[in-house]
Amino acid sequence: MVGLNHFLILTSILFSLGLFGVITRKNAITVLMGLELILNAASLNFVAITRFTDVAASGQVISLFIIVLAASEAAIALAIVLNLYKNFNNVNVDEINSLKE
Amino acid sequence: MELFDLFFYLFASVIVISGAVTVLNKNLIYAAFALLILLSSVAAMFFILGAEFLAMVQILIYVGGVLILIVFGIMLTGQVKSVPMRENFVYLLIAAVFTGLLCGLLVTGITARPDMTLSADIASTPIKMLGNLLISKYYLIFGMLGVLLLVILIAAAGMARNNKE
Repeated sequence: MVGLNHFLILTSILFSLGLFGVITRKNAITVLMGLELILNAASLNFVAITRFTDVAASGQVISLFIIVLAASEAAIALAIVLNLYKNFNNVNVDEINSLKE
Repeated sequence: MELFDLFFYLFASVIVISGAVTVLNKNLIYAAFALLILLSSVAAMFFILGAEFLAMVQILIYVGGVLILIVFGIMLTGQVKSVPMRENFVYLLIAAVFTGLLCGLLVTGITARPDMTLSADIASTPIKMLGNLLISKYYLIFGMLGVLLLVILIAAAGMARNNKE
């Protein structure tokens, strides 16, 4: 019987995978993908807790807010990445270490 | 085994495998496609949890918006094939040990408490309830998110513009 704990374990695995991606990848866009994994884990957690406890639909509303924030974060991050590529000619987060050329 | 359990294990395995491919693959386009599968599986997970509206929003915004932006970013920066991870093996080992420990810690913490199951059929959350919550209890956050989206719109357009003085 699948319960709340199954969902929580799944989301902790997803969170750890995303964290691993954020730590180990060099490309800025892949770091962004790891962030998406982490945000999805959090939002799945909220929905699962809403389903298995009686908190009305509050968790789903918070999950909706998370999705909106993730979309705006992706837009800003992509604009920053394009500017970085224009100025440094790569998007390697290890080599971008100066504020001004 | 119930249908709910079957769907849970199916989508959970898809989520974990495609998450691993997203994080570990060297080819960025393959990683983006794995992310597509992952986001769709999370939407399916929302669906079996009775949150149909959220599943639709997930597909619309994540798959239709964020993923397209990411693919745009990959293609515009031109680094598609064989994007390296950190080449130093020690870094990889430390990161793997650290995240593995964190995952193990979370799982032990979760399994220490009693499980909660529901035997009833999956009742979907009415969208009307969601809308009522949005304009009553969470009205302040809702309005602030509106302002935030406006700011993001202007800022992203201003930053991505090609301004040569």
